[in-house]
Amino acid sequence: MAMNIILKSIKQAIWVGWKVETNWADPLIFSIYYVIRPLASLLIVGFIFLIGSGVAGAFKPEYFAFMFIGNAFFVYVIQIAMSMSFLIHDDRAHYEVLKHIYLSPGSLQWYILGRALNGVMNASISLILTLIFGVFIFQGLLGVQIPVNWLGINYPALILSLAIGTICLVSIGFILCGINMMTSRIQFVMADYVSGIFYLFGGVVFMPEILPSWAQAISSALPITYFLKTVRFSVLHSTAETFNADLLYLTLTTIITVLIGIIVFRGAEYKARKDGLIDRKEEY
Amino acid sequence: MQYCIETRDLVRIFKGKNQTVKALNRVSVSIEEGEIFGLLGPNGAGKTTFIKVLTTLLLPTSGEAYVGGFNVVKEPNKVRRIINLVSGGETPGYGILSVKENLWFFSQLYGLSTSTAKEKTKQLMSDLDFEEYANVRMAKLSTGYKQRLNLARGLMNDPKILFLDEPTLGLDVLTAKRIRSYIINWAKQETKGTVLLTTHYMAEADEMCDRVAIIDHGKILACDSPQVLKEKLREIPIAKLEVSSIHADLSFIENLKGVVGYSQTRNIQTGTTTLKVMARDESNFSEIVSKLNEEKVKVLSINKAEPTLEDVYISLVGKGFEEEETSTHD
Amino acid sequence: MIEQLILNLKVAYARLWVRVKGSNREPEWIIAELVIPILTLSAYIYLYKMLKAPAEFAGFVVIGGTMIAFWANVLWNMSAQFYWEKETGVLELYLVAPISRMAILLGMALGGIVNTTLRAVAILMAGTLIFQVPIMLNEPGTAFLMFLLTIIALYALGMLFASLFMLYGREAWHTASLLQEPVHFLSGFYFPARYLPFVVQLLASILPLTFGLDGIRRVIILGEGLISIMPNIIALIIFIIILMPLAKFALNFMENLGKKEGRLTLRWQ
Repeated sequence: MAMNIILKSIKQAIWVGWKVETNWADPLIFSIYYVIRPLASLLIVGFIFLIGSGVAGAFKPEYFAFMFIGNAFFVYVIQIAMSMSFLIHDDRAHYEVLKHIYLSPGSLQWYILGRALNGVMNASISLILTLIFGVFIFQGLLGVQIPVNWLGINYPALILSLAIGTICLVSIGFILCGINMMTSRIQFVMADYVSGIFYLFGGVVFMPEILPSWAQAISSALPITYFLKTVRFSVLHSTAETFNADLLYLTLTTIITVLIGIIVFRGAEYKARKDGLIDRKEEY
Repeated sequence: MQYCIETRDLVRIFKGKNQTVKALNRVSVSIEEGEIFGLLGPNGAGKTTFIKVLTTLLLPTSGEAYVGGFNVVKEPNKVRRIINLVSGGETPGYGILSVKENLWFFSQLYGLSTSTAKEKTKQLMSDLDFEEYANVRMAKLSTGYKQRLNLARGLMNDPKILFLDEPTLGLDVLTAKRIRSYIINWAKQETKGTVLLTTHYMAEADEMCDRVAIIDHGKILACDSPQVLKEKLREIPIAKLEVSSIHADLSFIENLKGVVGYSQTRNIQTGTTTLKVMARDESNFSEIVSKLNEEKVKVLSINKAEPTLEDVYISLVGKGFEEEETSTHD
Repeated sequence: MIEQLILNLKVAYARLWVRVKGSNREPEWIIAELVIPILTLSAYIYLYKMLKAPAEFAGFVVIGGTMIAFWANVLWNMSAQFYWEKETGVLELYLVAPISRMAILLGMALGGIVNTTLRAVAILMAGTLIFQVPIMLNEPGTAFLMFLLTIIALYALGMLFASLFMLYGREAWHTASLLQEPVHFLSGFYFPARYLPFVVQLLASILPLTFGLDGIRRVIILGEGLISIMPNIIALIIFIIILMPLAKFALNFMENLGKKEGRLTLRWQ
């Protein structure tokens, strides 16, 4: 397929995603929306941390930084999983445009990729605002020491981690889209399952080492675990050896996820076409 | 005399960010008990707005409306007890519930006992010929059977007045015919209820209605029985021409002196256009044929036509529904 | 008058029946409503464990996680219901019928309570068993009273929100979405609200959940009695007295406003 058609599809999909997700409010309210939820989530774990440490009598700033960075960057998981989980339902049953997109020369997969990239964009905006407000509240207002040198971030490492990590998350998004094409019964909970499992086993707010051994095995198999490790390295400066190993595992798990994503999505697309599900409308 | 439905200078204005729309423009209508009254007009004429005011879903900007003798603004609950509404193209209930369950649920909104509701459900499903779908979930029904369910739901409370907003929208010919027959039978034979029906299908209005009001841009242009409305056009000759092109520019017809109005229907499959022209003088028809020949458009046939409700509309507005909707959207 | 009351009670029952029947026809929802909260609350319990906080904090998280089921039910199955029904075209069928809107909401609320209570009990049991949460329940009657008052206040709030949703469509939907995590924070779902800064506690006190959650936790986890949680009980009663009539007023106001502006049955807003 001509490259210009593909790029145009992706570009238009990003534009549609932006319009659909922001047209219900003016820019100011929209920004508030993109800050308040992740910030509230950060405040919950931040206060759990402060209260738990306070009652136990031992505050460890490096643990706080671990939790702070993990929770902030988890916004990519939530944003991408949420937007891609609802995408098929919204476009098929609510707006009834999926069949038209499917029939267009641009093809569905590039459209979905564009919508996913819009999710990445929204997550990035949300992340920056959450970090700013989070630092202001915890460090500025509450006097909590967050041992992060914001001016000394290893940007090449961060960009590399984010690039590979978002490829992985987008692939997971394609798996969710594929499942939702075949059934409309679990679309509203899929994103919650994914983010719930990643949140518990992915080393987001606590070190996976305190989980039971069977749970630690699950943690070691998840790409999110390595995504957050490499991001933490970039921001908090762990040793380079750990970074290289973690980056390798992130790359390997991403490759596996991409392959699974392609297989599931292609299979789902074929089944949807075979069973006449592309323009199916679920009333309930 | 107390009418079953009466409106006096009803106005409804919608104010948007960039424009103000007068959806109803001093509409005055009186409908007697037991009448099937049609409101006919193109999309955007104000038909649904009118029904929404009468069914208490919308407040009028000014004017008065009475349903069953009750003021729709001041006595909405009294109005609701004696009416029901069936809208075409709408979901008639909850997809996850079966047909029977949906009908039971809606019967409860009108206080029917469960035993009465069961009887009525059985009777309505039999009358509308979809008993075998009683235990099927609504989400699994085709459009036609959903609309039968919708109509059954609308009749559960034995309304004195039934409001039908495009009830056969999107239905196949046979299902639409069945629903129309049922409504006529319900109104005339069984309960002698009053029906207010909105539609943009001429044939439907012609077949079903005792009287028809033609509405355009919120104004009632004419109101009488279909026969009387068509009779008024007998003095105006109507010709039906079939021409061999779907691309011909026919706008010159509008400018011919003596032409009252015209409509065109393009048939892409056959590559022809059916043209209906109303003119005060029959010589206009030969003028049209000559002009078409000059443009190298072949006239395949020309016949005199009996007036229809569409012709009544054209005589009032100057163009057909299709042209009217196109120009409204432009 | 009596006739109208009987009609509205029938309507409430019918709507309750639809809610219970509908929710239990899709078992995948039941599984999701059990599993997903346990995942989140497990993460917070492990965080407390990593920090070596006392065991009762795990209990606070389990109770909070249980009550989230009710908050989510109020937000999405009650408040947003009129929005969903507007989108599917069922709302206008309610509005054309000679019934009270409160009766429909009451039915939804009761149906929601039935389903959610079953799920909440399952989450509570699972959380307690998995994490060996210490329970010190000395007055079960007080716990039940606290729970009942919290639920009534919560659902009254849900009725108030439903009126906003009826008219403001997507903005209201996004507002409800916005209210999830901030309320989880302010009401102290995962830690006692008394640990928050004073100014934040003042803000939290406008939510009935703050008082309800605190009372339930103190009775079930810390073994306190009726006398010590009396301020919470009084606060919840005041909330109920204010919210119920306010919800009725708001519903009527919003419906009239919608009819005036022509937005009551307008979709895709």
